[in-house]
Amino acid sequence: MKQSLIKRIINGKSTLLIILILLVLVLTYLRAPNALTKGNAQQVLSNLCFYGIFGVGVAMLLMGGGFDFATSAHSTMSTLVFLKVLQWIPGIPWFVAAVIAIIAGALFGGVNAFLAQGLKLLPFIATIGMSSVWGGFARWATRGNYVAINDPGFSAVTAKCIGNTPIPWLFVFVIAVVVAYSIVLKWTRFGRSVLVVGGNPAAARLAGLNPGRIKSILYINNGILAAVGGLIWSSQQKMYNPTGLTTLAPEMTSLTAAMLGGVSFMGGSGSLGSAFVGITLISTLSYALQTMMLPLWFVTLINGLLLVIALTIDSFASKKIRKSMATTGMVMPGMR
Amino acid sequence: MELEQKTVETTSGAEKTARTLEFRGISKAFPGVQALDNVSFSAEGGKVLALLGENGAGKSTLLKILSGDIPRDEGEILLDGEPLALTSPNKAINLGISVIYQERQLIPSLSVMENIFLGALPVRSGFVSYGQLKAKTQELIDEFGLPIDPTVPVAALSIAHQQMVEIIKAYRRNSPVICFDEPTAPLTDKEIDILFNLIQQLKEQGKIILYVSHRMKEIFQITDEIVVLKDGKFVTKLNTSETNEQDLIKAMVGRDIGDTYANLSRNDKYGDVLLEVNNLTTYAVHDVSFKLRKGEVIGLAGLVGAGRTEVVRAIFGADAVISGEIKLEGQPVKFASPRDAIDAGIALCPEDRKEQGLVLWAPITHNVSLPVLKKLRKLLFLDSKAEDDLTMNAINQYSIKTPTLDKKVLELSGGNQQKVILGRWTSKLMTTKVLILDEPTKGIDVGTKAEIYQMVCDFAKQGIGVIFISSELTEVINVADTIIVMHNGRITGSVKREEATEENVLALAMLE
Repeated sequence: MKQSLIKRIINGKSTLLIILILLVLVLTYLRAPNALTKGNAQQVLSNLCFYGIFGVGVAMLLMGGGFDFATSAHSTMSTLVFLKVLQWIPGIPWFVAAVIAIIAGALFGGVNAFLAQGLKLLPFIATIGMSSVWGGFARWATRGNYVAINDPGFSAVTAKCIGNTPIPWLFVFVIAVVVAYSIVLKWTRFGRSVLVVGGNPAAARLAGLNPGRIKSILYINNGILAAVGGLIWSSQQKMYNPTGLTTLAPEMTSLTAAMLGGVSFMGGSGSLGSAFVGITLISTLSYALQTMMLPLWFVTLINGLLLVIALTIDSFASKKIRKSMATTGMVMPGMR
Repeated sequence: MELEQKTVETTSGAEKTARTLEFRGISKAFPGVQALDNVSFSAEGGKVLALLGENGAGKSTLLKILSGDIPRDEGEILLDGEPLALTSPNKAINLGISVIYQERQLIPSLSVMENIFLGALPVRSGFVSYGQLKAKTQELIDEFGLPIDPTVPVAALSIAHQQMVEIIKAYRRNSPVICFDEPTAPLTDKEIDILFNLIQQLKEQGKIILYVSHRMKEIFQITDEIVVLKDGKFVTKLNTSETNEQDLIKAMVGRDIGDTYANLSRNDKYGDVLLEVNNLTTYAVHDVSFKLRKGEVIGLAGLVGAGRTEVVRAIFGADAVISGEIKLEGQPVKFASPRDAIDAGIALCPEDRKEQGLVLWAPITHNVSLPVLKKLRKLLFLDSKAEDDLTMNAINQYSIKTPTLDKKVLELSGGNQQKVILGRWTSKLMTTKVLILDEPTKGIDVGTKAEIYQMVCDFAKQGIGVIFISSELTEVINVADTIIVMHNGRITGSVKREEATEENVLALAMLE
């Protein structure tokens, strides 16, 4: 009954995913022995830094029974705030601007919390709408142009590696964040409330929880982590890119990863550790495909396929619960 | 289509001799449970056969096998001596098996006629002939003498009429075998009469009718024969006219529970007034007033839709109060949310366990500790040892049958799920003064029902005020000390247990 800490954070499903990751690495080695270089490893890990942070917000929200299509738009908008603060207040330290950008991220998340919980709009549709609103705004702000961010301190944060290894210092921070959120999820009242509200909001309310408040916190948290993710991304790219993230749609990749890791689309279950292992698999796979000189559309195709596979697995896993609730038919998270 | 036609022909050919449906050595195992163990019996056309047994006895599994929903491990099912290949629900329908479940299998937005002829719409030169469809449907509806318009969407019909549509659909297919799974659960008494009339007609036409229900009264009213199952095994087959309730219960539970109600050990000392409701009005109830004393059990009786659930939801802070006053221990209270009510000592076991009571996917522990998470805090974290203790207490106190603490409640039986909710509200971290039980015995087997009645009395002995809502009249007039009857959102009367009879309570419930 009692499981070790590591085992609880990374559950059974991850074992399969880890095997798949190793398989991808072996296959890559067989096809392109030169691909397993230190540089490539650093690329994959840097990529994971972004997805790790970004994915935690998405997975937490998913477990609480919500989903935010505007998450990458929040990243872009927060980066825009960061850029504008740097431009308007010359000499301001980058980390102060970053804090302001993160606060802005919380506000963007808060807007969606208000739409979904305050006005009780369908979260799926409302957040698609907001994604479009912010996407348009982000392009208008720089007339669709990329803007370079030349702050050596800001770029160094994501670039510095531990000694001679290909592991960025930031990666350690990201792992710490994943672990911290896992602990919150498994061992605190708030974490438990998230799972309960995601599992059955009506029952949670009648047992004295406040589902609206908990979901709102998750939307805001999603906005905050999206902002941090956006900053990491722009630090790595050294620029503000008004369309890059919306094209990449990292919320869909995060959704796939979370579901591969056992987070149910019906909310109420899953672990962040496995979601992180899921994202590692996807990152490694995309990078492997790219090093094999396969075109980008192929990577997109594979990612889409993975999402459908993950959804299929989830659907089979939750068949039982849906059957037992056949009277009204459960609604998927973004729909209630 | 072709298959259906064939069924129709064979039916009309064999109308004279009684048809038979035979179960021969049916077994089915699920991981950890032998759901059915070598079950054999047969049913005859022109008779209604009841399938009776506690929850988990194997009735549903048997119906699912018959309807092609799940495969059997062993055995055969024969219709008129011919083995049936029940490999899918569709196959079963084509072979003449119709199962009418509690959950409607209709398409709400389509009209009555389209639903009835779904999959067999009359076609003229490539297009659906609506004229013909309407005429054919009207013919069927008239045959049963029902006041249903074939052109209205099913969603616009009452639950009872929707069920009628489903029965007509089965009749249209000319199914020789029609099964009913707890058909009366969502129906009012009047609607039940209509249903029974219909079943009577089907019976006269020589159909083989299987009838699953927990309600004893109905079984004696409508069935001719009774098959009792227990723990997946066939116990006995009886003629309804030659048995009685006591014997049936004995066969079902394998022991004599005697007169359930007479054996209850009740509380006879009431304390001060605990809860006082004055002129409560919400969107669904009007001018409701009553007093609940410490140690008293108040029963709320009434037909479905009378406003019983809405009264307790308003008291519990789950629905908004428009006007009126609620006093707890003499103090006026206003609850903005269930949280406030819980903190004040009011607990509600909601009407629908699965939809509103439990987090099915979560383990027992999480479901028990839900309202007291705040008190389970140790520094920043949840005290999982205390949580396990709490759950262990509930499991012991209510003898919840489970191998481990962290079993998902999804995997428990209905009775045990209900006990988990009771455990939640009566743990030592709760200070429940008023316990509201909304249909606590719905879909629960006879043995567990009796346990729950005793629990209600035990709560009263501890000084808790209990509000007990039930649609089963016998139950509510025998368990509660005072029965408050509602009709159309208003209280129409109040009767003491000693004076209560099914007749006088029903008269108040149906007051026009």
